[in-house]
Amino acid sequence: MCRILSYLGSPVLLDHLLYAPDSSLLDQTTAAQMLSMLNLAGFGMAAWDTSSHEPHMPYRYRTTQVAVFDRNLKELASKLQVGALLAHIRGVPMTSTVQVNEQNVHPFRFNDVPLAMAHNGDLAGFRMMRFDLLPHVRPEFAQAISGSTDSEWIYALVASALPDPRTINTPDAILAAIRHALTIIRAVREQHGITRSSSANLMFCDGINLVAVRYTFDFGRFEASQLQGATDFLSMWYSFGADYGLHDGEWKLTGGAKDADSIMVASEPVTRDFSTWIEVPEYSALVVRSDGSRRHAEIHALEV
Amino acid sequence: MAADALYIVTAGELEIMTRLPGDTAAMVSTIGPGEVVGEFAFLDDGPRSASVTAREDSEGLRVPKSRFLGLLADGKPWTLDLIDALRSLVASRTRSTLTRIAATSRYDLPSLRAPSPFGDFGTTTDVTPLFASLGRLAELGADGAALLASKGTCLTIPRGARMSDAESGRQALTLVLRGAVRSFLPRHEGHEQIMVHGPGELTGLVGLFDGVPHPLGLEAAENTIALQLPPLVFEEMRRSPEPSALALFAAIGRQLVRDQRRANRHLGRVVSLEQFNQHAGGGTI
Repeated sequence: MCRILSYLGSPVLLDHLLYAPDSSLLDQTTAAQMLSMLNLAGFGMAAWDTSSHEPHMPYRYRTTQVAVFDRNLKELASKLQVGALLAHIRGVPMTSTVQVNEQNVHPFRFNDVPLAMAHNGDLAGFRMMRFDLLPHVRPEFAQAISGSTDSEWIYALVASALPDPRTINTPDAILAAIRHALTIIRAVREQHGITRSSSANLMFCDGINLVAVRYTFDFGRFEASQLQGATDFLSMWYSFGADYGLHDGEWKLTGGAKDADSIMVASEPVTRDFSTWIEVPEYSALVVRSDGSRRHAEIHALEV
Repeated sequence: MAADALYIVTAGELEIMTRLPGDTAAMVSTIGPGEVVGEFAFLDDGPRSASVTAREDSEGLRVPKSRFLGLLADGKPWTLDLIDALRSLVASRTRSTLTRIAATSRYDLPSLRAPSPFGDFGTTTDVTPLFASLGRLAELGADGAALLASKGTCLTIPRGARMSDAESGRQALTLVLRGAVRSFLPRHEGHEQIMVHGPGELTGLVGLFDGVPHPLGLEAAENTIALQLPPLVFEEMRRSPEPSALALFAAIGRQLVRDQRRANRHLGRVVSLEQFNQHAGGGTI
C-alpha cells in the first residue's frame, strides 16, 4: 500500500504541501494515520508550475531513497511554487521478492502523454493477469512500460483508452478511459478466477484536470490468511478552499467553499485534525475540471 | 469539554458545531436541559470531529466513561438501560440526518446508480469460521459466533442484487461476513449511495432501534455472504447481560457511531460541493 497527495489550485510552495502539515505526505512515510504500514520504497512527484518553461510539462522527481532523508527534495520544495501536484510514497510488503527501483516509483507518465497517474492498492494475481492485459495496451505504450508494477499497467490501459493520449483530454474522456480500463481488469480477473479484494485507488492529473478514483474489486472478499487491508475500504479524502496555508497554527484550506478555487485530494488527510476533510465515496470518482481559473467538482458513480 | 465523558445538561444551552471544507463552521444541533452530549464516548474510541460550545451559562452532570464502563462490566441493570438509551439516541440522530439528506434535492446526477434488481439468494451453513478474521467482532469469540449463527439465516447474495427497499418494513439485522453491501436512498433518477458496509459491519440498525421502517434500501455491492437476524432476535439480545449479547451490542454501538459519521459526511459533502460549484459558475443539481 502507498500514500498519495494531489493538489490543484492557486500556486503554493511545494514545501507547504509535502512537509509542513502535521501529518504531511512525508510524515506518512513512517506514521500514516489510516494505514498500519511503512511506506519506504520510494517517493515520486509530478508538479506543474504555470510560470515555468513549457508549463504543461511537469517537474518530475523520482527516487528510491526514503524521502524524509532527501536533502535535494527538501531544498527543491523550499523554492518551487506549484499550481498542480501529484505526489506518491510507495509502500510494499517487507519481502525480498519486491522490486524496489526507480522504474517502479509513481507517478507514471509516458513521454509526450500529459496525464500522470499514481496508484494506492494492489491487484491480486497480477502476474497471472498481465499478459491478458497486453492486447488492450497500445504497442508504443507496451514498449514504454519499464517497471514491474501492476500500477504501470493500469496507467498503460488508461492511456491507451484515451481518444488522443498526447493531448490534454477532457475529464469526461479521462473518466471514460478509466472505466474502460477497470472493465478490462475485471474481465481478466474473472477469466483467471481471481476473487481476492484488490484496491485500485487512482489519482490522475495533467496539470489542469484532476480525477481521483476510490475503487476496489471484490471488496471484502478474502481468505483469513490474507487479511491485510481487506476489511476496510482503502481511504481517500479531499478538502477545498480559497487559501491554503498556516491559519491559527493549523495548515488548512480556508476561505469557505463558495470562494474555493483550490482542492486537495489524498489517501488520508495531511493534518491530524481532519474535520475539514471529507471522504471520496467508495466505488466513485471525484472529477475536478478547470474552466479558466475556476474549478468544478463532481462525484461520479463507478460501476464496472 | 473533554471527550471522555457523557454530559447530561441540566441548565443552559450548548451548541454542537462541525466544520466543512473551506473551514466553514456548520451547526449540527443545539442541546438543552434534559438532553445529553458526548454519547459517542461511551460507544466508540474514535476521534471527534465536532466541537461543543456553551451558548449561555450552562450546568450539567458529567459521567466519566471509565466509571460507567466499570459499572456496565459489573452488570448493573440500569447501565444496560442507559447504554441502550444512548444507542437509541445515536440511531435517532442518524435518522434525522438521513431525513435531511432525503429532503434535499442537492445531489450530483452522475453519482446516482441504476436501480438494482431483486435477486435470488442462496443460503449457506458453517459460517462460524468466517467470523474468526473479523476484528470488529473479536469480542464475540468462537462460542458467541456459533450462537449468533444459529439464531439467523446465512445468505449468499450476488453482486448487484437488491436486498431490501427503503421504508419497506422493519429490516432484519444484517451482518456482513464477506463482501460488501450498499445502503442507498432511492431518487427519481436512480439510487444515491449513502454508505458501504464491509466485513464485520452491521446494517438495518436505525429501523431496529426505533421500530419505524428503515429509511435506506440495501443492495449487494459485491458477492456477499451475510448473516440475517430477525428483529425478534435483536430485541431478545438488546438488554441481555449474556456475554455474546454484550459483545454484539458493543459492536452495534460502534457501528451506530460509524453510521452517524458517514451520514454527516455525506450531508457535508453534498452541501459543500454545491457551494464550491456555485462559485465555479455551474450548479450540479
